[in-house]
Amino acid sequence: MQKRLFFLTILLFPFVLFAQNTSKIYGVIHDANTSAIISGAEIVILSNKGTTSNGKGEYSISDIKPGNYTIKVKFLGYETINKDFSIKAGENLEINFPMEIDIKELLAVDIRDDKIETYSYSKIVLKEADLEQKPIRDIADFLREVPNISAVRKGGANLDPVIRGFKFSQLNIQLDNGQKIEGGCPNRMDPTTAHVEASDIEAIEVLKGPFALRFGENMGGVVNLLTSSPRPFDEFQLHVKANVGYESNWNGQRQHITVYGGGKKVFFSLSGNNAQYGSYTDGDGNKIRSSFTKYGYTAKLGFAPTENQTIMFSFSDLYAKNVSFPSLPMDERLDATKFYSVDYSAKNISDFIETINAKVYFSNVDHTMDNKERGFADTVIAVSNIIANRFGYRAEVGLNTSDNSHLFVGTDMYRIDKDGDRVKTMIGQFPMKNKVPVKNEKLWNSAVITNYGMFAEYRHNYDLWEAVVSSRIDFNNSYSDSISLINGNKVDIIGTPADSTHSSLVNFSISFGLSRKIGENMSLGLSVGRGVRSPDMLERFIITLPVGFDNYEYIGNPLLEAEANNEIDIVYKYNNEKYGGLELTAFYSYVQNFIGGTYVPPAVQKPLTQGVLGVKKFDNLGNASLYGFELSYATPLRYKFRMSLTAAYTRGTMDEVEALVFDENHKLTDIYKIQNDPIGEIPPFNANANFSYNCMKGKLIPAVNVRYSAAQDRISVSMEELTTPDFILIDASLKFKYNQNLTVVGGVNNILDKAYYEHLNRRILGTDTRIYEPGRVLFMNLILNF
Amino acid sequence: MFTMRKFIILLAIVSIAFVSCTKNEDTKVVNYMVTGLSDPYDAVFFDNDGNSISKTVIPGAFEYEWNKSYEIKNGEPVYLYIKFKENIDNSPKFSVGIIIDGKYQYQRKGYDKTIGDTIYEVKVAGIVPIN
Repeated sequence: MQKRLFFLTILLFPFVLFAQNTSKIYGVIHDANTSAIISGAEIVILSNKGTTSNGKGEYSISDIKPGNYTIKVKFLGYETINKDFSIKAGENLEINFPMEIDIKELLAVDIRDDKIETYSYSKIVLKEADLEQKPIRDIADFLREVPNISAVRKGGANLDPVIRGFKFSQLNIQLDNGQKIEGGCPNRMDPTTAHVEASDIEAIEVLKGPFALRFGENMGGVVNLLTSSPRPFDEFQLHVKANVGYESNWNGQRQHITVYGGGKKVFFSLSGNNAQYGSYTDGDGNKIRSSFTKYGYTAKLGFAPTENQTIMFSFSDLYAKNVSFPSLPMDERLDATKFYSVDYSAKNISDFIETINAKVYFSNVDHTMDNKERGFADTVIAVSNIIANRFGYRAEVGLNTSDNSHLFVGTDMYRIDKDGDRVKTMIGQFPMKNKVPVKNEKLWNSAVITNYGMFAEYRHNYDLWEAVVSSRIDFNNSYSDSISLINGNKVDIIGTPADSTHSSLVNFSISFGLSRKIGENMSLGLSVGRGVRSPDMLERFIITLPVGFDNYEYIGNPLLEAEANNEIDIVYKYNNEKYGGLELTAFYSYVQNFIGGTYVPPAVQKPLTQGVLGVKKFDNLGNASLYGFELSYATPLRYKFRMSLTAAYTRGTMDEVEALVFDENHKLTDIYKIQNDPIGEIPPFNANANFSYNCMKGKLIPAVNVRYSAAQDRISVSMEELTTPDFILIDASLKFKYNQNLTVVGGVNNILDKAYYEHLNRRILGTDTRIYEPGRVLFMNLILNF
Repeated sequence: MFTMRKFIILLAIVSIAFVSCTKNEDTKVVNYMVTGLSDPYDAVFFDNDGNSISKTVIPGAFEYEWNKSYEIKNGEPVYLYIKFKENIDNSPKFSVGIIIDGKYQYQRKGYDKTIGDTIYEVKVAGIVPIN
C-alpha cells in the first residue's frame, strides 16, 4: 500500500507542481458604451494562449505561469485592446474589458449572434483586411484562395464558386445571413456572387459540408457574404470610406465610395461603385475576351428604437453591362439587379431569450444576353431576356437553455418566379410576307418554386466537450407552364405539359457534431450530416439550351428527386504559442440521386443549337462519392516574419454513368455504362505558401505568395472533360499603411507571366482551347478612410 | 480639419451620385441607302424600334437615290432588303448599303438572287457595332 502511494505521489508530482505554479485570469467582455456583452471576442495572451468569450461575454484562461504578460482582445468592429498585466503563482485575476467601437471599422459586420465555434467542422472567415489587400474584381475569384475552393470561369468576371467539388445549387450562397438572389442566366453568367459588389463585402463566412442547417437548404456548404452595415454612434457623425483600384493588363479601374454616419437612433450608409475592365492578355500575349462594366449603389438605413433592437432597411441597384463570356454562345449585355431587405434583430431580451433575428427580402434580376459578338450573328441574332424574382424570409430565436447550452429555432421560406425567352432574328434570310423572319422560343415558361423550411440547432458545452445537433425540414413545391417541345416531325414527344410539371418534395436534413479540446493546444472534432437539396429551376424547367460544360443541349426534368449529401468530417486543430497554428480537415461524402444528364436520342429530340453533339435531359444519375482534405498552417500572429501554408485535395467518383462515343463526323456510334468515372470539374491538388514581414511596426508589409497546382489527369470520361497541366505561380505585394486615413496596397500577380489555366476554366466556344488566366498584372489599391 | 472633412464628404456624395447614375446608352446614326435604281422597287427594313417596315420606293428624279435615317442603340440589328426589276448588270452606281455614323458598315454592289432573270433581290444586314 505504501509503495502504491509512493508511485502515485511520483506520478502526480508534476501535476501538483504545475497546479501550484499556474494561475488563471477571467472576466467579461462588453461594449463600453452600451454595456452589451460581446460574445465571440478573441482573447489572446501574447504568448499565444487564447480563448473566445462565451454567450455571456465571459472568458477564462487557466494554467498561466507566473510572470508579466500582454493580453490582446479583438472583436470585429471594435478597437483592439492591448493590456499588460502581471500574475502571481496561484492567483485568480479578474480583468474585464469594456470595448470601444472602432469608428474606422464601423462598417464591419455584426456577427456577434453567431455562436458557432465549429470545432467539429471547417469554418473560415475572411475579413475586410484580407479583401482590401487584393485587387478584387470578383468575389468567387477571391474565394479561390481558400483551400479546396475553386471556381468555374466562363469569362473575365462572374466566376462561380466550387467547394470540395460541390457547385451551383449544391452550395448555399447567400447574402447577410439569409438573403439569396436567383440569377437570370441559364448558363449561370450571373451566380449569386456576381450580384454583389465585392467592395461592399465586410466579411465572408465559409461553412464547409452539410452541417450548418440554420441558413437554408445546404448540401455542400454555406457561403455567407456579409456586406457593410451602418451602426449607431453616440452623437451624430459622418464618415467617408473610399477604395480606388487599378489593374494593368486588363486596363481595369474600380472606384467604390461609402458615406456612413448617423446618431444613436438613426444611422445610415450610402455606397456607390463603378468598375470598367477591358480584355486581358494571357502569359503568351494572346488576348482573352474578358471585358466588363459594373456600376450601381446601395443604401442602408438603420433604426435602434432601444439599445438592444435594430431595424435595418437595405436597397441595392446594381448593373453589369457588356460582360464577355468567350466559352458561352452569348455574352451578358445588361444585367439589372435590385434587391430589398428589412432586418430586425434584438439581443438580450430576457435570461431565456437571447436573440431574435428576422429578415424579409426580395430580389429582382432582369438579365439580357445575346450572341451579337459571335460570328454566327451575321445570320441569326439571338437575344434572351429572363426575369428572375425571389422573395423570402427567415426568422430565428436564440434561446439560453442553460448556462452552457443554446437552442436556435426558426423558419424560412422562399419563392422563385422565373420566365424568359430567346428571340431569334433571322437576318441571314430574305423577308417572308414582307417581314424579317423572327422566332420566339421559351427558355422558362412562368416557372415557380416555393420552399418552406423549419430548423433547429442545439449546442451544448460541457467541460472540454461541445456537442451540436442541427436539423431542418423543407417542403418544396414547383410548377411551370408547359415546357413542351415539338420535334422535327411536329410531334410533342419529350415535352412535359403543364399539368405534369407539378412536383412536391419533403426533404429532411440532419447533422451531429462533437468536439473536444485536448489540453490547451489541441482540439479534435467530428461531424456527421445529411444535407438534402431540391432540384433548381434549371434542372427542373429549362427548355432546351446548352448549359453544361459538355457540348450538349439540356432539357429540364420536373420529376427529379432531391439530391442528398451524406458526409463525415474530422477536424484536428493545434495551436502552439511558439510554433503557430495547424488545422487538418478530412472529409468523405456519399451523394445520392446525383443530378446530371442522360442522353436523349435525336429520334426523340433534335438539338436546336448548331454545333452541339445532341440533347441531354436532367436526371438522377445514381450515387457518387467525394473525399479529400485541407491542411493549413500559420505562424503566430505576433511574429514579424509570418508564413502560412495550405494544401488541399478533392477526389470525386460516380458509381456508374453512361458514356457516349462519337465518330469524326460527330455521329453517335456507341453508348455504354462506365463504372467509377471521375466527377467532372474537380480541381487538382493545390498547395500555397505565403510569406510576409511586418516592418515599421506593421506600417509596411511586403508579402510573397507561391502557389502550386498539380496536373489534373483524373477526368470525367462521360463529360468528355479535358486534362490540365500543372503550374506554379508567384505573386508579390506591398501594403503601406501611412496612417489611419490612408492605406496603399500595390503588387504584381503572376510575376513570371506564366501562361496557364485552372482546371475549372471552360473551353472557348467551339474549340478545345481553354480560357487562359491573365498574364502578369500590376495592381494598386488606394484606401481612404475619414 | 472639420471644413476639410465636410468638403470630402460633399465630394463623396457627388461622386456616388455620379458613378451610380444609370449610364446613357450609346447611340449611332443609321442610314439605309440605295443608289443606281430609277424604277420603283420594294424595300423591307427595320425601323428604330426593330419593326419590319415594307415600302414601295419611288427613287428621286435626279439622283436615283433613296435613304432612310434614324438613331439606334449600339448592338441593335439593321436590315435592308430590296426587290427590283431593273437590270443593274452594267450599272456601276448600283449600291445597297447601311451606313453607320457616316461610314458604310454593310454594302452590296450586286444582287444576291434573281427570279427568272426579271426580278432581283438584295439583302444587307448586321448589327450596329457594340463598341
